[in-house]
This record gives sequence, structure tokens and C-alpha cells, in this order.
Amino acid sequence: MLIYATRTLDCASKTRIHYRMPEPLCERILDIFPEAEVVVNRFSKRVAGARDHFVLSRTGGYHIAGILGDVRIVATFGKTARDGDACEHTIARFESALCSERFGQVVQRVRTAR
Amino acid sequence: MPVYDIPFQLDAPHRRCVVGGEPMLFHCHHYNTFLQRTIQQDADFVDSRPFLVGAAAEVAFAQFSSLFARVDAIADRKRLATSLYQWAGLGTFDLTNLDDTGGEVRTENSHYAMAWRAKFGRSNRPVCDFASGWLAGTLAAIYGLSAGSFSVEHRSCSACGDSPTCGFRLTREAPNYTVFNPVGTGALTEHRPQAIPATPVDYDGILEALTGMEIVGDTNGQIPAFGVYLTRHYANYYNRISFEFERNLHALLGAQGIEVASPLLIEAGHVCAFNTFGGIMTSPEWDALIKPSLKTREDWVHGIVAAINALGWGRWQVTTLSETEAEFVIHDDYESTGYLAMYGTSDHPISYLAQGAVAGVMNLVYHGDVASNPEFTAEYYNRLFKTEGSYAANCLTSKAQGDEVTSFRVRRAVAEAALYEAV
Repeated sequence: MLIYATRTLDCASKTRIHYRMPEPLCERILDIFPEAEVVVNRFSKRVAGARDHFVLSRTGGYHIAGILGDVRIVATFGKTARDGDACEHTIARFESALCSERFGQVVQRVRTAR
Repeated sequence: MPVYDIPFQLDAPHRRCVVGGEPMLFHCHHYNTFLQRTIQQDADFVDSRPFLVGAAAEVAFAQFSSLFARVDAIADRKRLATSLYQWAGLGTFDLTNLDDTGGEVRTENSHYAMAWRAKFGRSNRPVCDFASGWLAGTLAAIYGLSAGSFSVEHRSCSACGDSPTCGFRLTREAPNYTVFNPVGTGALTEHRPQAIPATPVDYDGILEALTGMEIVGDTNGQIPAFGVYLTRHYANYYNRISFEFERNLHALLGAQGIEVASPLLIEAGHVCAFNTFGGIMTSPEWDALIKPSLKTREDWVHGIVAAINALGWGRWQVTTLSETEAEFVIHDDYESTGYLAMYGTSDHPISYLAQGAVAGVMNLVYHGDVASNPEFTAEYYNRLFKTEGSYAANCLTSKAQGDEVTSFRVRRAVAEAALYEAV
């Protein structure tokens, strides 16, 4: 039940982590940050075969996107990588929440920054 | 997320979005800054500031003069202007301290400053020419004055690294930029879509889904989406700065000026395709909405063309398609529509963004195997566009030259000299 985390930077030097979950995501992921703004795009109602997409966000804090029923999450943290500790705190909080909600256990890998 | 009340009109039949009579479309920060740097630095003997600032003043003045016809109070006008700026992902402004004599304004959130630092690092000169002109045009409209009623000085820029904010001073005096006549939406055609190859891609469903998404600025006036920072920018701003760049080069160098300008502007189209299309095709949104219906690489081309139709760039079609070559047809491409309205019929193709973008689609899908989820690095860019087997586009027809549609044939380039050959 491992969650694989691949850390990189987005094109504005914000920390971006690609998570690969051990099981497909369910709607429970939408509640992981109570303060987050949650947007669910119900693409499945518009296009045959499409799946529903979600974004959890808080300006300057995080932008977490994924697909319900899929195993991939793309999370971008902080205003910039220079935010340092604040950014790491949010990442730790997110990963702790993933583990405590029994989505899996985080294992981190590092890859070359963009 | 802020709640917006923007008088936005989706013109779905023409694949356009219009606000206050000005067509607005999506482009990412890579294209915005690359195009600006191309104009400012790749031909630095062209005095570009007057038209970079003037183009922004033009579109802002035209848009708000139209919108303010139904808004009387100055405070309400300022609120609408700042809200629209933030909604569009251009940053944030507080205009309360400006009056009909001008004044000073600062912001911590400027799209161009943020984007420049992200893409190129520290700048040795202020980069917010768009914001400068937007302020001048907007303030004139707020107070019901004529275009060009204010000069504008960009006094500090966070892209330079010596200030956390961008600062501007507006003064009620003769403008220190070019004042252009706004052209609005231009003349649009009745689209007659052409037959396309069979594909499982649901063009209409994708258009409906993407145009239904809430892609708007956050509290910092940023739109992080598809792995880039999007803006819903002014079509006529891109048009004016691109065509003034070309016309200035032509005035200085004659026909050679066009030969200098066109590959530079097409290259900006490559950068746009690489980052925006590449970002879309590797995003969770793509995986959720479009990827489930893709079976072949040809479907990947159809998928991204379907998505492009939601960007406000006109109606895009791919009418023949194989790994060997493809033809793209664009109804009311925004460059041609703008050119015709600004300058009349052209004697040469001018849809540079589109020309670079269609080559980019083919390079991403066939030459770069974007389906393998690559890293979007400089090396990958160079492999896509500058190696043997890279695709390049030739213009077949041009709306700006009087044709019904703009169209391109895209093939693998055989020689550098053939890259930008116009048929």
C-alpha cells in the first residue's frame, strides 16, 4: 500500500509532487483539507468514457489536481520554492493526511528539477 | 476563489469569447513572455515600448469604454476594471488612489513580472509594459476621457529583483506611447466546417466541458492550470504588438524585415504549442476528459485540436492526417481577423502563432511522443523543433490575404531553408 511521490518543480519554481496512489481515488480525497476550495469537473456527464476531475486549492498554499477513479495526483505547493518551510509544512500535512486517511503510506523519490 | 461578475460572452459558433467588445483568449505565461522578449530583444533596434504599451492602452480603453456605458459611479468602474484584470489572470491592482489627474499604483501581483522571473530569471529592465498600458487606457475610460489622456511611467518592477512590487505613475499629459484606433471583434465569417477523418474524439463534448470549467484568476490574479500560468488575454494586444513589430522591421529593412520577423514570431508559436499544448496533454484534465477516448496517435491530434477550440482562437480543424503530413484549417483565426481590421488585406500570410502551433501539435504527437509523458525541458524542446524529422508548416491559404479560411500543410522538414516557405 505504498504511495509513490516524485518531486519536481513547476515552471514558476514551485514545488510540484506527482503522487501515484496504490488504489484508485474515491470522493473521500475531496475532504482531505477542510479549508480547501474544492472544484469537481463532472466530465463523465459531458463526454462518454470521460472521468471526473477535481482540484483542491488554496491561493498561495496548494493546488492539488487528480481524477476520481484514477491513481494519479499532481500537487503544487507554496507561492514559490523560496517559501521553504511553509511549503514543506503543507506538504507534510498533506502526506500525513493521506496516510491517516488510509490512502497508503508515502514513499518519496527525487527527480531532476524542471 | 473570488466570485466574479464579468460580462463575458461565449460566441461558441465562432469559437470566441468576447468581453466589452474585445475578443479575449487563453495563452500561457511562456508565450506571453517569450513573445515580449522576442519583440524587445531579438530585434532591439526596433523601438518597441511605444507599441507594447500603446497596444495595451488600446484594448483596455476600448473594452472599458464599452463596459462603462452601463456603469456610472467611479468606484464601481474601478471595481469592475480590477475584477476583470484579476479574473483574466493578469495580476491584481487597487485603483482607489488614482483620479482624473493620475496618481501612483503598486502591485505585488503582476503576471508579466512573475512570468519573466519564472522563465528567464532576473530582468535588467522593467517588463510590465502590458500593465503600464492597461492602466493608462483603463484610467482614461474610468473618467470618460479620450484615449491617450495619460502618460505612464513604470517606476519599479519585481522582475528586476530590487523591489517586491511593481510600481507605476500616471500623469495627465500627452501620452508617451502610440495611440491606436481599436478594432474590436473584426469581421467574422459564417463557418462552414470541412469534413475531418473519422475519430472517436467527441469535439462538441470537449468544447462544452472545457468552456464550462471555471478557469479564472485566484486571489493573486493567477490561473495555475494545465501545468502553466494561463491568462485570458486580449487577442488584439497580441495582434497589435506582433504586427507592429513586423511593420517596424519592414519600415527599417524593407522586404527583408518580413523575413526577419516571420521566423521569430513563428518560433513564439512553437514555444506556445510546446508549453500550453504540452501542458494540456500531460495534465490530469486531459487524462480525465480526453485521454479515455484516444486509441491512436491520430486521435491525440484530434484531442488537442478539440481542446484548442476552447481557447478562443477561432475554429480549428485537422482535415487530413497521417504521420507523414497533415492539413489544418482555421476558420476566423484571430490573427487574420485582427490584421484585416487593423491594416486591411495583407500581401503575405501573417498567422504566425497558428503556423508555429500546428507544427507544434505534430511535433508533440509524432516527433516527441508526448503520450509517453516526457519532461518539458529545453533539451526536449530542441529535439522537437530543431532536429532531423521535425515538422514545419507551410501556409496554404490565408484569411488575411482574402481567402475564406487560413490553412496549413505540416510535414517533416527536409531542410532548414524550407522551414518557413509559403506556398
